Amino acid sequence: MFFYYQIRNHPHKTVAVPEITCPLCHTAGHMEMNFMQKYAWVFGPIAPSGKFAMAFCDHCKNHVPAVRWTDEMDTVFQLHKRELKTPRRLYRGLIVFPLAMVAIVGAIILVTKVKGNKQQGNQALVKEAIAHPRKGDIFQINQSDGTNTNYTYFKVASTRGDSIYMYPSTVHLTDMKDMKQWDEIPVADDAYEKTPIAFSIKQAQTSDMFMYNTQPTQYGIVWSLYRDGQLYKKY
Amino acid sequence: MALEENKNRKMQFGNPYADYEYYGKHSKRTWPSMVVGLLFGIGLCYFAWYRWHEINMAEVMGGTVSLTSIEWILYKVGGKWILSGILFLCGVGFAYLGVHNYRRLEKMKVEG
Repeated sequence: MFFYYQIRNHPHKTVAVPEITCPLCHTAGHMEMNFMQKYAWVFGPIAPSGKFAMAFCDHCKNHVPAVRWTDEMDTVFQLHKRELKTPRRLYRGLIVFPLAMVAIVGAIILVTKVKGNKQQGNQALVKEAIAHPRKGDIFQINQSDGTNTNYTYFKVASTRGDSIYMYPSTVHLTDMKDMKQWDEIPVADDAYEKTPIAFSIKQAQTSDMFMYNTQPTQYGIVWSLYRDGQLYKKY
Repeated sequence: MALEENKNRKMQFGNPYADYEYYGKHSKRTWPSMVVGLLFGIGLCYFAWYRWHEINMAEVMGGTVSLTSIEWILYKVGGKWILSGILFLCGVGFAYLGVHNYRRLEKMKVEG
């Protein structure tokens, strides 16, 4: 992982310090000190670092290396440094970045919660639809015999007591790539077989799937409900 | 080397103003870079020996040793000697750079 950042300099002030003698050319009256501060930059200032100075002699036109600074220069440096205050804007990143992180995490939690609430509502509706099916309701079914799985639909024909009669669809999708196509619910009668199959409502309520009375056992997991032109997905 | 001269060099590594930035009395010290360079260099040299020893033991005794992808490539190319040799050279390089920087700063202290 690469993390791109810059180290920038914030110029504080430049002061003439004629009382200082240049340690390079030993001439007094030509020295100046440039006070600066480093800070990290990622889309804006993040964290300021320590304040420093660069000394320049206008006589010999040289900057003084840090190892050549005299005690006299250090005293002047400390005096001026004490007056300098780090601008508040240099701390901006320390506030913005945590806030941005909180906002991103908060947004993810919010979206997950809203999505979860919607799914919970849909799950309750599908449960209710299994308990009290309406003629014309279409269930999106993940059908399996334990080995082979396909994606199909059951259309409610009628109910009698604990039995629900449904027309199985002639459409059987086998590839997960066709999931988008699976959501295109076939409403027309010719997409369904003519003979309805009976399932137990009680069993469907307890196991959340329609069980066939066949051997080996075949079952259809209820994935969603299509009612009044709208698809209510459980997941 | 004066800053103006340093600034005009064709190749710049790191901060060209670093030698001229005065943060406090500790900026006048010349030895910290040497100590860091030597510590890091010696550490790398020890790691090179340790890796050589580990691989050698695995080769002789028939055990297994975990290698990173880069180490694995180097091992496939030239065996344990190349792998440990590169680490050792890096260690020596760091130690040399530390001493070199110390001598450069000491020279600067005298000449300016």
